[in-house]
Amino acid sequence: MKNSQIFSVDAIIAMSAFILILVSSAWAWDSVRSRIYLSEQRNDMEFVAASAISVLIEKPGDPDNWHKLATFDESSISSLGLTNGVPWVLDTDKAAKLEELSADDSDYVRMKEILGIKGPGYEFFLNITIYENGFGQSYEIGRNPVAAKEVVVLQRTMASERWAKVVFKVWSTQ
Amino acid sequence: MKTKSQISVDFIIVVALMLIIFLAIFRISVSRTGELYGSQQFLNAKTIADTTAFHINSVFLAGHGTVKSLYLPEGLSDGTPYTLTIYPAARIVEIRWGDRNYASPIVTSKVRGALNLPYGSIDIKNDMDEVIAE
Repeated sequence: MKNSQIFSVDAIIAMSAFILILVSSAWAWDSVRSRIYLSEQRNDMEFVAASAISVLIEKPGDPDNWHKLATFDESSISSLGLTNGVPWVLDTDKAAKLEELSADDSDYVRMKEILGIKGPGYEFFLNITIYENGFGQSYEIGRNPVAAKEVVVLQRTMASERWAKVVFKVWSTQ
Repeated sequence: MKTKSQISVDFIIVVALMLIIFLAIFRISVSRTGELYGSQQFLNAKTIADTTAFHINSVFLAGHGTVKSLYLPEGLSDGTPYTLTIYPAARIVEIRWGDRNYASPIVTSKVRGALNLPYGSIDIKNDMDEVIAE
């Protein structure tokens, strides 16, 4: 009869409470860790997106006639930009060229490299709409978010010469 | 006498169970502490690389003549030494410490000067849209 004392109701309650505390602390730990990871990933994506959109709308690219080069690769283009040399004034030929290039998967990957979009599973989508005489000409560059776990959206509106709206999304499936 | 031996067996079983449980808890807590320490070190290294990349990108965006100063600490927050290198062709700033590394992206490949960044104060400047670290 003494042996059965180990499995008394008190002992079972105490053990259950102990196990419950252990399991909940493990759960809390994993939950905090996963939140930190998500928050870090979001910060990282925001940093990447902010750098990429800034270089696109503030710089002409280097060389500034990159859209006329025969090859599109990381060694011949040191930076990408969409302006005509004046910050915030977009060159529609460059936007059209990027749209054309992004249809090709390998050029799209090169574009990500040049823009510094290099995180795990990171993709981007750039939508430029330039308004003239009441009509909007739209350019879609990159890949629209599909099954994205995290999306960072940045939007800029430009009012110099012509109205333009630039929406830049960096998203990740991981 | 019988009663005594029964208590002793019970006691041994309980102590053994407790030891197993405490060993398991101890092992988990050591591994969690290690993880926490690793994460803290990683976040500190990431901050250094991201700050450097941010300085390079902002100097590049700001245009010709811009100069920014950056201070690189002599080790991570726990004193671990690190190396910080700019790889212009790969468009990254890479930090290495121990057997770990992290890369932060930059938006131009035109970077020259001290590509293996030394500890201490560093000037990053834009010279005709070329970024120079010195």
